[in-house]
Amino acid sequence: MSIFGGRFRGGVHPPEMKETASSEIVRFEAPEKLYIHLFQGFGSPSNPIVKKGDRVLKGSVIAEPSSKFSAFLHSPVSGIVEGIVKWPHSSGKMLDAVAISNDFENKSEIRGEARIHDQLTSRAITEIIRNSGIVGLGGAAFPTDIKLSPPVGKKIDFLIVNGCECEPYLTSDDRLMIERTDEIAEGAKIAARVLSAPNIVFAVEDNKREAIAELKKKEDSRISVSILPTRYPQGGEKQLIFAVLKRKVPAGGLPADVGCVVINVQTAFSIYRSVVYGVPLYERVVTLGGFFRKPGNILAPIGTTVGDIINARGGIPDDVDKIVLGGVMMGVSVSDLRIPVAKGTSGILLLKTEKKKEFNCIRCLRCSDVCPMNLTPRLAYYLYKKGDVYDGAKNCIECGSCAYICPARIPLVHYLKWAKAK
Amino acid sequence: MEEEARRFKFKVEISPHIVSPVSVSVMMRDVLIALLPAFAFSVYLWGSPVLKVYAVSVFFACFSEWLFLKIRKRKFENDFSAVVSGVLFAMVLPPKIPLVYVAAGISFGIVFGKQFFGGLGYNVFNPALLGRAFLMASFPVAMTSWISPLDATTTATPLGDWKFHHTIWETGKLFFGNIPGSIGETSALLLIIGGIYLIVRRTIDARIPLAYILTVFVLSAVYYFFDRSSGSPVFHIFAGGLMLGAFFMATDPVTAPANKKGRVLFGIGCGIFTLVIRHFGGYPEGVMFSILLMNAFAPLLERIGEPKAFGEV
Repeated sequence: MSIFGGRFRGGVHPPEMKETASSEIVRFEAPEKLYIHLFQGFGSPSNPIVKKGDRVLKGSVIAEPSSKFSAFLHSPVSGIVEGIVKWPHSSGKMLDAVAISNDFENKSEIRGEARIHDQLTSRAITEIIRNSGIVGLGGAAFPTDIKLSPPVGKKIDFLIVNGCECEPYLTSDDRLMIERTDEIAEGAKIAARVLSAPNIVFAVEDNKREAIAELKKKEDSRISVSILPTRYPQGGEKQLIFAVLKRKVPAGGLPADVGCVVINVQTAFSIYRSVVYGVPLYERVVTLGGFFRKPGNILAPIGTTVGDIINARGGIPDDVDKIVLGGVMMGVSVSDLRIPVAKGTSGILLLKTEKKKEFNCIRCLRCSDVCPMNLTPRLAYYLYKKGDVYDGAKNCIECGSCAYICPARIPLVHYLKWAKAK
Repeated sequence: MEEEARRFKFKVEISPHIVSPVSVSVMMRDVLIALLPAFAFSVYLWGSPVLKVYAVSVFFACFSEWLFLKIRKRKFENDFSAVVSGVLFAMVLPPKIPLVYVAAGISFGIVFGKQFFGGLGYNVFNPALLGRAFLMASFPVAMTSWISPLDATTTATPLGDWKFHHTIWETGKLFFGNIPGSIGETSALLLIIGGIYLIVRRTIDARIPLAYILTVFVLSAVYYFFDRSSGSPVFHIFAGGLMLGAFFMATDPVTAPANKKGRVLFGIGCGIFTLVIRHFGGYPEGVMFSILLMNAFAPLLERIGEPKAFGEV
């Protein structure tokens, strides 16, 4: 497959740090209290449909979408709703969350047996996916049902299943590809059927040999595996489409404009679970990396607080001074251990940072060299200082390659985000 | 309670949460490493007196920077950029230069060329070259008195011989560097080795030296075709300070245009001016003035060729 592809522009190769790559995914037992934010990181916050004192079961709907770009939320445990509370969110704000007290009875409203789904229409499947609250699990948390309903008239010929996991430290997708290959492949087939896409490509970076070997077994006339060189941000949608198919998504356009839809491997897995077993999205695989006393990969219920997970894993070593949700390149650092795991939380990393000495920009152009979108990140910083807005920032994907490479240690992502927001 | 206290311990910073190990200081140290072979060779050629030139130059580079920042009530932080300027400045001086001129020249370069503009990153002109231009204007005799390597007799440089006596030195000598000239500029070979190291380490952009050297080569080849006494293209690229200037001076990112097309044009401009000065100017060598001239054009060249975003048409 890769013979059709190209090397995406720019990019960096930070230390891979995939030390948890051989740690099997283990279930994380739901704690006593869970806090599920109505805002999961994308679109508008969902509307709660439960109130204080309501009894919920595992899989019960607790919130409904408030708009097209919003998702259903489900309870990961059986228990009692403690109310809608203001709770710390990874954005740094206090946001509404449904607080659920776990009764540890583990009563579920999910049917156990498999559903025959071959006869379901595309519409019926997207309906199931929407009702299951499935969103993009690569981190963006974009509602999957919308992704699987491209604009009318756009023909999709390739479904790309993104297993690049180009972020350092993270191994949750890697483990899932190794352990749940069948389910991912089935989920991808379901998604491809919805899209009427004739081809499925699994895109994996070459540092994931075991996952590649497993996926290769699934290859047939319509499924192929594209092995890509390890480079960040390979998993960026536009970069990936170029790397796999050499197609350029127009600036400001969608992958559907070039006949592609990209979904993450965990999203494919969730599609399978929801369509076949009716399991909504209330848990996800999270990598515990960095200086965890017990690192690994866990299947964590959404709403479990970071503090609960850290405590169960031996606590925080003294010299850890940064907690990151997501990957080191794009994740957010948080200071509050009460922040819960959200649908887009691919990892929790405990890091020890060094004091960074900032210099003046020496115009070395490295930021432009590594920018996968061919921008001039330096200008965002220069223009910001002049009180001006860098127009090119609208195309920025916030991958952080520029700030990673910057020898002057200028927080370029900050200036780019600022310009983007203007 | 304990948890409450710990909550504020954690840093909240914008992503990314890791940075590459290459900082500005590391890049500057790379330049010093790249200059090592040429430095060692210069000590071999001119003997221990040049060590004093290097020492005075580096000391006054750092000292003038420290003093200026002290007066401005700013903190001096050694990012090795002043050290690089100091070493490069020493390398472009004649071996017999009086030490007091060395101190004056580099202090002028650092204070007027760099700190007046706001320090590293803001300077318009290369500080080392500006210091040299200052000495050239103030003390022309000292700046044009050359000696032979090893025996220290008074002589002319290959470019001086070419310009004023119409004699051409053999290419092999120019390439290996056993010739009169500025302290660190004589060995084309060792400077090319250092330059390649910097290109491999991505500390400098190969576009500038390649455009510069190719331009000199092609233009002097054309000139040579019509006038056999004008010096062969090979002579012109190995003689004088071209290699030092092309790999170590013109590539200073601060004073070169900060985009790719601009950098190619910058290199071509340096090449043209170098030959214009060599052929038609009063001085035999034009590398220094050509780079300073193009430094002034850098902001203009930067406006050409701002790249398009991926997917934009």
